[in-house]
Amino acid sequence: MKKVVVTMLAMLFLAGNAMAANYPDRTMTVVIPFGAGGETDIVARILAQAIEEEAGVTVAPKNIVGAAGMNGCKAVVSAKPDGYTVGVIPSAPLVMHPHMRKLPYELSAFELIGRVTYDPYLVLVHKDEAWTDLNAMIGDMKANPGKYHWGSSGTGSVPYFAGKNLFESFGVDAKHVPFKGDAGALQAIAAKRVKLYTTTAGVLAKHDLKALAILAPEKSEKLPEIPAVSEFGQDVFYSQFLTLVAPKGMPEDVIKRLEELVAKAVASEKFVSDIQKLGMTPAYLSAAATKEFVEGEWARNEVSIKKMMEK
Amino acid sequence: MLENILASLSMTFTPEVILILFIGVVFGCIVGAIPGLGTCVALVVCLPFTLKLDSISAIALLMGVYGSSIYGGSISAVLINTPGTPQSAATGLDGYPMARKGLAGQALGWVTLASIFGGLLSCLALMVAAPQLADLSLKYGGPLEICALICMGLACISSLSEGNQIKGILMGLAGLLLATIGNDPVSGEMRFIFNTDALAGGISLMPVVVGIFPLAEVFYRIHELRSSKEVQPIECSSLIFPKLVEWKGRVTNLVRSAMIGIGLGILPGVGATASTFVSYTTAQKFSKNGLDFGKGEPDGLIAAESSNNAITGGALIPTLALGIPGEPATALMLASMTLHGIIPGVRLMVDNPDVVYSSFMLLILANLLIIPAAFIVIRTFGYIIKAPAPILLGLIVVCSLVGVYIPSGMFFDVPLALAIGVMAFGMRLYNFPVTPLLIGYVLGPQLEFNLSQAAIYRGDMSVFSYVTTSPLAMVLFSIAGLFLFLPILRSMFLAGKSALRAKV
Repeated sequence: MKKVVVTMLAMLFLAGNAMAANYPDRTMTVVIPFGAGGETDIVARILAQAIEEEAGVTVAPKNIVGAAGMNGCKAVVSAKPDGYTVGVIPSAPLVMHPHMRKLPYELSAFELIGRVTYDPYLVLVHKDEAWTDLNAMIGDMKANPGKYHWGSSGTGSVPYFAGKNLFESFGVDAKHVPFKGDAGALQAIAAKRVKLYTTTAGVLAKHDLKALAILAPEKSEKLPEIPAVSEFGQDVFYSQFLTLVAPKGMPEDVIKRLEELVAKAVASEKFVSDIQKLGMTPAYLSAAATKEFVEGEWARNEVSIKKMMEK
Repeated sequence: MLENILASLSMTFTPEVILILFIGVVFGCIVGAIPGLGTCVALVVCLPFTLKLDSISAIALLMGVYGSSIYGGSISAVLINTPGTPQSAATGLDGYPMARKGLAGQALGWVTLASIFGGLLSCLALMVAAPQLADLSLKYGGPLEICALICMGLACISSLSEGNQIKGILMGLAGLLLATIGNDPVSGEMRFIFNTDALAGGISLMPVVVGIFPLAEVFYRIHELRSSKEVQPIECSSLIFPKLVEWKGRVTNLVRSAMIGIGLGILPGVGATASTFVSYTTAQKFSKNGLDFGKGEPDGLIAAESSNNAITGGALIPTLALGIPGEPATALMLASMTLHGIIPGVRLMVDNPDVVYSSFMLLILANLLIIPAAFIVIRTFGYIIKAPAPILLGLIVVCSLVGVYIPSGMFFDVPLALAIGVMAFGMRLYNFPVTPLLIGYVLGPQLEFNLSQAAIYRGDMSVFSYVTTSPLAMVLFSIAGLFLFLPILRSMFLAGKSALRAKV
């Protein structure tokens, strides 16, 4: 009897080691903190497919929705750190929401594996607007305080902060109108009810919009004719980036392997072309570089959000 | 243009595409019919497959699933009083009583034909007038007009609970209150979450729909069985299509309901559910058999089903023509198309005209293929509902709870659905109508959102001058007032008349 027990225990231990040595050897789960069909969801699914090709195991996307991404983030943070549960998290829940309210997770609870995409926001207005550049728009708005409306995809969303920060930096009084997601705001711009919206470049192909500025320190290579907002005198930087994260506490070799898989997946031809079809930009950063990048964003947002929340 | 149509004909009518379309239609029908699942679940399950198919096949699969899942929801609404999708809730109001009377096959016949007609009419609208309708939706889809529409939808509560109005309105208000849990759409502040993270996202739609309809129905049946009331088992072996003569006098209803479905479908966000109830209530007012609504009147079935499927075409109009998805289901379709390099939006007709014509043909075919799919699914369902009650009820509970868990991935939704189910069961026992609860709950967030936006646009204008900027809104508000007060006035009037007669 004792022999059986000892053998079984030995096998269990061996099996545990074997799992670490052959990671990944069973189905992985990618948690998506937003609903199916949204931007984060589609990119996460494409990434999951790309990782599946590299790793040879099934990578199953799982949507855990609610509370602007909080539920999904919580699920990742509390998952077992064995490398089989990861998450794809966009910028807002990671570096913006923690400054707005108390959340059940901290940035330090995530193991940042890699950045997947990075798209700076554009200042978008309807194509038929008379304004030719940002200065013209700001001037018009300053001359008519309170007359114009601008849209966001909800109070507390990235477009909300981008817009608010933009107008406050330039000293303009414009009225904020919240919408449910990109779709509502874009419809309102098309109907000329609001004048301005900020989001990534993916929408330019689909709608009658023109971009007056890009909210980044420099112009983008893809869209060289759009001036950077710094050229107009203010540093208002907002972007949408997606990161692959995992719960802290995973074994070193698992982290390394996961990093490798993500790097290869993001570099793969199919991933690049699919992401570009969506109008986004693959922008891989290694784990260390991602950590630096995210912490930088965190600090920057802490300052600007705290300032805006004081009002 | 003719070469484009010919090109798309050859693209569409390949064996592979038609087969995938048919599979999509059957699959959508089945998933729609299973209580608790629904259009979104069906589309999410198909999403990985669409990534691997080529663009036309992917569109075929999505169109097939989308159109038929709404129809499928009506099958379970009629046979077991558990609408598989919230849009089918109005169908059950007349469908289930008909089934109980032993006319299940006929009920499903009406449902099928009305659905197909609604779907086809909306396809026609899509083909002929998509850009114009899209422009209309932009112009008239402002928050004030949508508020007025929603008020119309809410006012339907009064008609739906005729004879029981106080309880009906109470339930409607309860639904509105339930919808406030979570965060305020404008300020972002949390309401009624009792300091729990679980409620921070509000109560999502699935626990409420699943709690009110399938779960409460299960509990009610158990109650019926235990009080050993004689329950007539529902038999349904096949569809029985209504004869041509039975359509007399009902065609206007059919067309009108489809138009309501298209009209409301093109306004993103108002939602399929609101549209079916508005159409049902309108039909009730205009039909000769208005008093029989709720007891198994085909007019009610036609109204609900025709508008219900007409919404599919309507909702695709802003999706394809403007790139703006009206509801989660169309958002999924949009994403899938984008991945295949088909960019919906203002450039779609210009860049990919053959894809556009293909999509229309596929949607028409999808609607027509519902008939064979219906036969298959209804026959299967007919066998399943003959299973002994404990097994059937257990199956319903399991499917419903699975359906609650899949969209959100939050386990908390499951006990929440059960709690709502128990509450809804209690309400049925005490004769509180539960449909108004659903209406209030579904329309509440939209109403609040649009009202807040309207308030922002109003700025400093007086309420009166703001409302008068939109003639359409004024008309809709008046109709809402009529819907709300007519039934109340009518019952007061009838009560007064009978009191007078009693005196005499």
